[in-house]
Amino acid sequence: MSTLRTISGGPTDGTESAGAQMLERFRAIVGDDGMLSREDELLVFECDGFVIEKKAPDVVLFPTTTEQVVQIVRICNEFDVPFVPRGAGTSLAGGCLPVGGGVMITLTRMQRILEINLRDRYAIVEPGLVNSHLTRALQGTGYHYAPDPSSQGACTICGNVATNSGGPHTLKYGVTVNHVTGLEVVTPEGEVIQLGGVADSRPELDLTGLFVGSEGTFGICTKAIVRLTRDPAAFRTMLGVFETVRQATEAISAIIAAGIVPAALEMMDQGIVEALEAAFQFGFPLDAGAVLLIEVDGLAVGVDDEAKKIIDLCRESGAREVRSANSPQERQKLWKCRKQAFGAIGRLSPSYCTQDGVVPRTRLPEILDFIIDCGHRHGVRIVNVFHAGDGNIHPILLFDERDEAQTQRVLQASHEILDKCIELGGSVTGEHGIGVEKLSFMQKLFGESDVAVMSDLRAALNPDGRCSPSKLLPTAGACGMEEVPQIKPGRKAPM
Amino acid sequence: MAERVLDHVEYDRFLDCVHCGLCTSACPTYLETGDENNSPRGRIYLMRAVADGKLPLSDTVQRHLDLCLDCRSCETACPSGVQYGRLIEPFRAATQEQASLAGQDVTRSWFHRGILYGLFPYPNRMKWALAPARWAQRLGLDRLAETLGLFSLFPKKLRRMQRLLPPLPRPERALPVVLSAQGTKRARVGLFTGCVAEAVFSPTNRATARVLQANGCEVVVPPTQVCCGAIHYHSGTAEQALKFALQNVAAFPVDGLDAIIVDVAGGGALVQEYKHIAEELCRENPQQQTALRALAGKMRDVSEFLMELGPVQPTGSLPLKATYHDACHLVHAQRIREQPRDLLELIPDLKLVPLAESDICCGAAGSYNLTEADMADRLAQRKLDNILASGAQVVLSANAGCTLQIQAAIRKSGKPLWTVHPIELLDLSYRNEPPPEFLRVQPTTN
Amino acid sequence: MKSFTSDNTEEHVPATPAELSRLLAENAATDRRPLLPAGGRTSLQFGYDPVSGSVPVSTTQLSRVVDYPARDMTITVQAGIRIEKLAATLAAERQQLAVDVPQAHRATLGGVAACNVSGPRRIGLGTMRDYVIGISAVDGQGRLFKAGGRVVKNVAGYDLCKLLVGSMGTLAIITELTLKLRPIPESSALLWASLPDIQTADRAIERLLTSATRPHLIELLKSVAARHIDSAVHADLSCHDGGICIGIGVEGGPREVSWQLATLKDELIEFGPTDLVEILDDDCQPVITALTEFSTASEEPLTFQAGVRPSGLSAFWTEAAARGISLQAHAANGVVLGHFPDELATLEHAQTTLEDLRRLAAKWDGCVTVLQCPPEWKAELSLFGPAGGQRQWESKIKQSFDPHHLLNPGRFFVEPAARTH
Ligand code: SF4
Ligand code: SF4
Repeated sequence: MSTLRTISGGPTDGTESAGAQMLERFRAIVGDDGMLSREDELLVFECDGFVIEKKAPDVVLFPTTTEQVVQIVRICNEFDVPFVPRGAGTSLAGGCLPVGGGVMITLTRMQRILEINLRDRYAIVEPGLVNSHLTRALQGTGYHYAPDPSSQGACTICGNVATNSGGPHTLKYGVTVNHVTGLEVVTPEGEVIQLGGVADSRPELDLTGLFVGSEGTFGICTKAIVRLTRDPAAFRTMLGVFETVRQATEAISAIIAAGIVPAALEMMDQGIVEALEAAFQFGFPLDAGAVLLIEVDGLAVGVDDEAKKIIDLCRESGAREVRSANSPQERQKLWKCRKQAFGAIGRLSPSYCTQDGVVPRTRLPEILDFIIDCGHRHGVRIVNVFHAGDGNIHPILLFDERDEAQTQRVLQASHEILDKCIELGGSVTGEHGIGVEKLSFMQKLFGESDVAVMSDLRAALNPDGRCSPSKLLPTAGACGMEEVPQIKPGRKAPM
Repeated sequence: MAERVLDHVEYDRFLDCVHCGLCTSACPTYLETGDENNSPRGRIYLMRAVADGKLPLSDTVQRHLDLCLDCRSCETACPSGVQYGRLIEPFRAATQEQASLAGQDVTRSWFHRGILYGLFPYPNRMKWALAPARWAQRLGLDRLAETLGLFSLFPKKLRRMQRLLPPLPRPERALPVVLSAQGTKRARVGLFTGCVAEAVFSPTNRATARVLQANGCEVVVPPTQVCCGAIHYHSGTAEQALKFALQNVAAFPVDGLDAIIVDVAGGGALVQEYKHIAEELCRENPQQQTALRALAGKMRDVSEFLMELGPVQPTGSLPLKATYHDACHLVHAQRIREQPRDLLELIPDLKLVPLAESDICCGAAGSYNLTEADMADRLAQRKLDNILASGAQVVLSANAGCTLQIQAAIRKSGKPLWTVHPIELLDLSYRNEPPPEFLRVQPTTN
Repeated sequence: MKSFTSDNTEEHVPATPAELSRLLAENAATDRRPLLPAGGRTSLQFGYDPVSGSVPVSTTQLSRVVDYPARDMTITVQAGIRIEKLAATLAAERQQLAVDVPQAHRATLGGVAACNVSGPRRIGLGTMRDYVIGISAVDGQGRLFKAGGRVVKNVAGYDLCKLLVGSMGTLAIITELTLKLRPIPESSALLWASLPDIQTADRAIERLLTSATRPHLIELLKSVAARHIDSAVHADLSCHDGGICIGIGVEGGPREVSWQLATLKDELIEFGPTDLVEILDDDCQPVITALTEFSTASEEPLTFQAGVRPSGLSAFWTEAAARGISLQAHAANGVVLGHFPDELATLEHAQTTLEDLRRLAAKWDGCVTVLQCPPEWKAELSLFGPAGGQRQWESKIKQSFDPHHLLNPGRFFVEPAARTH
């Protein structure tokens, strides 16, 4: 397969004209305004929220209609170049990395809400719509769109679909796949197909369910039918303060085991609390080992009973105190703190890297102990903020990337933690996706035949591997990339 | 270029950005274009690439940076505490320096020289320059002239300014130097009367003074104060900004005041930034630095100050449906979001409805609507659409530039909507007055 | 172990997933006999007839509970476990698989998953798709594979759980599932009432969509169907002839339940309900079971399931009712179950009626699936209706999992080519 490198001034072996020709064809579709091909404008597209591996695309296109996406994809097929869709570029796993260069199809100009139907409880939206813009549009209707990833203010619906995004409230309400009932997809060959639909009970395979979380390897989503969820009538938001992380994790297990399904159950340890205080001055207790942010929602008559049970369970597990948010503003602020926790880490250390492991909830105390021990063994400071109710941990390893040796130790520690998650019966990603970041873990998590079945499936739907090459599965399609050895962890954007 | 940038920008500030992208959809220019190059993350990446020598400062790169509104919405959105302003402004200073070293006249256009720097900073000149427009408006001739296309005879940018002008008040006599407190005196404050605002919005300043008086404040209005320098600072002509800043230091008796009240958000934020100016521009003059810092330390937005003081309950009923637009320099630069809303909630019978994207820039952004007309128009339209969707009759805008911009958009749309400073509404309520004539009469539609 | 191909066994009952894998691999490599995956055999009448010579492969020996970390609210079990047995295991920990399954004493978990069975409580509780978090299966070539895992949140690899749930055994035979569980609610209640007609019922449902309560079940029954349920549970849910029965279910803590019941009654008043009946706690389950079994009541000539937008329900209902069809709806989801009356007991009648209903359903983005009908009709009748927009991909996927077309060939929507409809 030729790459598009030839387009933007690559070798002059006669292919240049093909590249130029292709650019002209693109221009005819999206216009001057819908296309970037200068090197100095492509640079910012060389990575997303994952900054370790980089590759600039050869051209970036901004289609505004499904038809334009179709035409673009067909041209990519015709000229045999890889292409990759991109939303807001907030992937933490390199989901938007244009491995092998090629065409980047950016969906940020397809951001309309096409229909909101409260009677039938769905909305039809374009892929580039920002997650929180949908919720904003629903304000006052009594409905909302349930998946609420921490990046919801920036991330797009198509990105959520690609990675099957979660968020704190998915503990009770489920992840993206539970809220998408249909999709319009442009296939890797450039056909438009409709998966699923508005009505229930269709005699067909659940291809919507299959597509969600496929990280762009089955095509480009150009429309999504999403389910709307009724707003809960009442909330109770609590903050449990614990002396130790262990006590907090035990409280989590106790709550889950008691059959309570909180709307959200999040843990933050001392390090995080410290950073959050610096950023938002919420009044978190700085000397506590860990705090739990717990929310129950439901009927006004029920939430107090549930809240009380939770408070009792926290106390039994040794909570020093359990505070309640007394006003909607206070609740909002608590959630803001939680959702921006990652960012606030920037205030603790020059660089950090985070992992996205999952363990069965009963194993949380074990994995947390392991993380603490792992930090000690490697001399790395690790802080924790995570979706405790789901067992989805996000240990954050702090370091200074200018320190070579420390950087290596961080990498080592990260891998040990993920290996431990697998050992405890968990997974290496709960919501960020495999992307390019965790490709090497797929074979640890899955056996040979599992990977083979998945690869065959990809080959069936994305036969030439042109669409989002080298994502999700270790065995690459036709557009293989050179194995990039991971030399750095990192969340400080290196250039 | 790379070295010059490094001279101005503290490189570590680039490193604060972890490339998470959470700021992108907070950025008006990204919302409009969907192009990462026009997003905060993208701009930081571009600037850093220039600083690293990875990219030359090409016209394309410059374009993307120029399109930035300096609205600081990205700073509010950024969880990592990236101070975007402290990247882009020194970066701009570096590019200006480079340009002038290369022999280019940075204030090259007649527009910059004649209008932007010549006119805006001086309230009196502004008044005179606007006089014909005012008369034309009063007589209804402006609409006629617009219809006949007479304004098209003016240079294009001046035409834009004309379009932006609100119905102008009759020039008023300057405020007295000292206004006494009503009831028990609770504080002694200075009142900053900005330049554009004083010429175009003198009623706002007067309303602010009255509201402060009603709240038991003695108000001091130094006649020797001048423009805050916002336009200059944000357009990269730092020296001029410093000059104005120092003049204001001299004008206000800082020590004898509990606060210096600002009702023009742009200026207010800048005064906060006097601290930064002090750091960046008077490194060699510690005395100036201290004086500037002291001035900055006293500056308060009027709503912030009143909420701190504990407002006196206004009593006049204003049965209106209103929506509040967050001026960038209030909400993003000063993080003042709740206070104006809280104050407005005090007005009996006023119904405050939420405005979608209330904190997304309307495109005014200082002189931006004069220099980046296209994007400014798009953002004005976006703002207007959101306002219309809110169903409000009154738009509350606490910033002179925003008000101009929003009023222009509304006039163009011909919709029956009014834009007013929150303090003016409060003032009405304190004085038990109904909405004034112009709030009750439907504006002419064209 | 006997070799799969060397004898003419009428049925295979592998004892381990590995054995199943071997069977299928051997079959794919040699005889390529068509296979009929079977669990509790409650759905064998569903779909087109198996091609002749099909060999049943039973999963009933694969019925082990692999791991039940109750405190984690998940369970990993082999696919052949009977639903009733599974429910009993879970009930010991006051937990449940919150899916309503007909013939629970026979149905196996694997079968339930393969057919994506769901019942009246789907509006509040969801369907199988929402509960399967990990899966193991053997594909047509004998490859034993897994996807998902044992944790409730996991995005590693393709979500083959979703793909296999509802795939009707056409892609692979499910051997093991990990399920997300829910606590058995402390208390539950059903409120029954009759309403004068479907239009009123429709307005009532619309009202319920914004109810202060959060029902997990909103069921509509035509009087005939109501009588059917009535006799099944010996309750008095009697409904006026021509009227419509509405059932609303709530669950939660005792205070929540009683508050919701009271509120629901208030909210319903304006629709003029008569014959209000309240059913509480332990008495609810038999009614829910009866409602669930309605889909499998088999004396009638033809049973179908339709899915339309909820807003199209009343239009669809009216037309179907006019044809004398006995009806039940999971109203909030727009799912309608219908039994044809004896008057429609000829193929010709059935065909035209079905066509009418399909045309109508299509107006509301819906479709109509025949759940059961006399075997001799199947050669003529379109059981699944016109192919949806994703057929092209379904064929490719089938090809990838079962290239020799050995699993349930020709029986389901995945392979329309097998029939000429
Ligand atoms: S500026 Fe802040 S929000 Fe934006 S990408 Fe950088 S760290 Fe993230
Ligand atoms: S200051 Fe405003 S326009 Fe500039 S990058 Fe930040 S958000 Fe965008």
